[in-house]
Amino acid sequence: MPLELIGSISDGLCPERIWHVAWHPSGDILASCGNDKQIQIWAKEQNKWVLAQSLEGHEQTVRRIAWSPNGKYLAAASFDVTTSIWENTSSDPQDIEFTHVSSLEGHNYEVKSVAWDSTGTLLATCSRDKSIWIWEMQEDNEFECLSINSGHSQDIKCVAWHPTLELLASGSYDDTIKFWKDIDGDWECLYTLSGHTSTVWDISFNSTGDRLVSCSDDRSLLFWKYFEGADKWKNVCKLVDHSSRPIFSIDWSHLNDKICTGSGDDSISILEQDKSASTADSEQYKVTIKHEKAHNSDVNCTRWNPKYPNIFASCGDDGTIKIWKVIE
Amino acid sequence: MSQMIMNNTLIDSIDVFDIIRSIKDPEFPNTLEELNVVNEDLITVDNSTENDYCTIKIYFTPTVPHCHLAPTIGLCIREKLNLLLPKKSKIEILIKPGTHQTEDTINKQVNDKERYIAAMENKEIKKLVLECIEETE
Amino acid sequence: MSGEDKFSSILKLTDLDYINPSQICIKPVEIEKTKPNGTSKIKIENDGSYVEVSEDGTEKTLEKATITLNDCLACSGCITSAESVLITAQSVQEFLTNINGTKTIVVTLSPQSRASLSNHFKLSPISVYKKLSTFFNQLGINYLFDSSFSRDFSLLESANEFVARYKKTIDLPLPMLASACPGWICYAEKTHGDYILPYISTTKSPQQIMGTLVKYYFSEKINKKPSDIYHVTIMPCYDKKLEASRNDFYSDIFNTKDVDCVLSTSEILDLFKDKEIDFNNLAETEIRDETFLNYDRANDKFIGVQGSSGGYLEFIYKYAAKELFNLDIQNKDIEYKVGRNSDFKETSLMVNGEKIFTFALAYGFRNIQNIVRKIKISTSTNKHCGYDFVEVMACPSGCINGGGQIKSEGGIKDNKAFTQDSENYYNDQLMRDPQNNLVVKEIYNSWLNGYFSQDSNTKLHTEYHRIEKSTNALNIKW
Repeated sequence: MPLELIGSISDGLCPERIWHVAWHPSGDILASCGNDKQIQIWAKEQNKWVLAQSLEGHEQTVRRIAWSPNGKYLAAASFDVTTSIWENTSSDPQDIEFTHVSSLEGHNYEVKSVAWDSTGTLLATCSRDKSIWIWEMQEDNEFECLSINSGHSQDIKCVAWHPTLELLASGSYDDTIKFWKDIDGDWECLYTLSGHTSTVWDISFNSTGDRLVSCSDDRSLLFWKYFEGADKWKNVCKLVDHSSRPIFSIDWSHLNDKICTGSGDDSISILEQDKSASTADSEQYKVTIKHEKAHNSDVNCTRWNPKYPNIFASCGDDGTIKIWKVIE
Repeated sequence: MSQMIMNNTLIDSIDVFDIIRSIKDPEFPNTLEELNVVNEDLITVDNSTENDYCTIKIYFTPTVPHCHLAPTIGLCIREKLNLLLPKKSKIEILIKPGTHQTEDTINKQVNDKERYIAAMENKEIKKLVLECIEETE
Repeated sequence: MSGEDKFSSILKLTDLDYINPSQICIKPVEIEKTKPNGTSKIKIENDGSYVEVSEDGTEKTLEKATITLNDCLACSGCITSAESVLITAQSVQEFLTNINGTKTIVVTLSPQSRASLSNHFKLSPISVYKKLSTFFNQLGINYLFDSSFSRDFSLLESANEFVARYKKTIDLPLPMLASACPGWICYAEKTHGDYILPYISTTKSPQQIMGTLVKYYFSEKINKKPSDIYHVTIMPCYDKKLEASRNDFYSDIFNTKDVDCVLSTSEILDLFKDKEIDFNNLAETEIRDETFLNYDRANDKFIGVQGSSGGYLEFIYKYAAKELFNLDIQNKDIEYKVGRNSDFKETSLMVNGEKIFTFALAYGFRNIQNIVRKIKISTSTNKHCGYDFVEVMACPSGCINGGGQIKSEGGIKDNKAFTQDSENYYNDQLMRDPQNNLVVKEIYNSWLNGYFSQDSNTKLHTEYHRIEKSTNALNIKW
């Protein structure tokens, strides 16, 4: 079997529904969050995943978590309209001891996503209130609001930073993807990508930041390429009806360019570019593995390990976290 | 009277209708069946997928074409099914075509997993929904 | 043409986007349930009315649920700014209907609207005023006032209030936050009502002070009842329409609002189009009556203060420096430290190397967020937040860039330059300290019994109310 299950976390340790998993930059620690209002941090002990710490404080579902690039901070977006910031205050660099250091308030409705930029100084949050807030971390763990971006006409589901530039992308219930950049102190919407016919659930940049892939409620995947000459993002590949149900999650590996997706039909797929079929203007991507019944319910999130190639984690509505290996 | 359906039984549209017919309307002192909001003919159950889940599709008819509580009725239907169906099924709840002014908008909202789960985390909405789906006799 | 994007962004994000109340406004209407059992059907007649048909066939026409603007303001579950409710109640059409009655019509023009008209027509502020006079005379309007006049009261009261807070002669905390911007006030009441309200200055805005002056001081001068005057203001934003509709600015006794109708600058343009007015070629009516105008006859120029959002920071800073430390400060002595963006700056008064007080200017939602956040933290840790006064305005660049101002023909790209041009027209005026306004002085003596007196507190100050989130499940939008 091309997809091997190499680890699993479940059976009473996890909440009913796990929304998101995020790898620590070291690749050895995994954080998860869900409807039990907590954030769980898992570490490997001998060959088993054990709970290293449980972070409490949110009053409703924690929807998404994000590690800062240096792994010292963890941000968590919650339906309780706040975003919490946690710092690893352990004196031992190998140890896990996260303390709550700040609470970002201001969104009027549920916060859906949070993301750190590549430098670890900027944080973006997005919400059902249709706005994206850009925050800058100051000394003493305080945060200053740099911008409140309006533009989407509906609930914003996800935000993702470009891997190297100070450029933010967002996906929304309004079916579009928007790009945002700071121009002379004011953040403006540079590009709006239309193509999906329903909610955009997740987006992911490739490692060089000139490609973006998006997945949607419309059951399709769209691949976008940045054309520098024209200063435009264009759709170069469509995989429609990739799934029989909404596709909730997508991630583009920065180690080997593979793509993993998680879907509402309980399956996980791996995709790669079909180089033989691609031209300059039209690229082809194909599904190399479709693993049905990956979970016993909707797959909410799939994320590649940042250090170990071909390893990724998934989580779902069945309350389990699974670690997989792609066998080549 | 609805009961937990046994795990190894296949569900059909009558089972689904049996669960949702007695849901009370949030506004009027009647059940969804009495108001003709739900109807057995407008329910389809598909057990044919290779996966372990079954797909349920329910069309409902709001009481008036601009009924602002249509999304809430959708919420009640889903909650009650989630409580009483034995294993997770994929449930799609839609407005019967032509019976509401903003049916596309409502269909999207009612089937957005993040939205309906967040809605049920709101104290007031949860209370209202639980009252509507409560079995009284 | 919808006014949907015209309210300040702070209001738009505060609790919901524009909803047409006739479709989605869900203010619960009480229905008498006479029959506990049985079903009834509801049919819709051709005229759109709803008729309930009960089982025995009897028909009853159901009452149309109506909401008033006050319902909207009080309810935070739906909207503060129900576009269609406001636009209907304070539209150009309403204005034209009301000026044909028997009431005395008073129009108050704001200096920001005047500057916007100046920039659009490329006329001096004086020309704009004189041509407007001609136009309004044709419509039968009796008086055209300038809110720069009532702003002098607002500045004096705010400055005195600050000094009282600083000296702790009144039990209200620092930092004091400016209160002239209704977008900011609405946001504060709905989102931070549990801790921020005591910091907000109780002084009324220039619009509302003019309302009080017109209906209660001027009315007596012209021998009219307050309700016999129809008072219209021309303002740079739509949020001012909300302000005029507040219950606090309505008199039960006299059955009249302080300000009956607010028209934005761009609505005045619509009015010109509607009446087919060639504004540039209108004759100019010389200014004979200087009532409630800040006008210098010798130079034929208007008089004002530095700062196109009212100049609160500069005036209060100088006034406080004098009152508290006997220092004479000029505008040019005030040095600003600009923050992350041009809409945030601060300045500190130094005496003998010691920082005495720090004033800041925070325009736009993101800067307001940071101020509010700092205050919240200082409230809970009992530490000074770093500021003693903040001039808070909801719009980036302040009132000159309000949502109701006339926009550049070139679109958003040219807006910054266009706004700067409006600012230049705004500054085509003579500067005068409000303390030197003799008419204002006279009114303080005869009608108010001095700065920040008991009378001026009754007439020139207001209150704020925390707005609770709706707990009615039928109202909650998810």
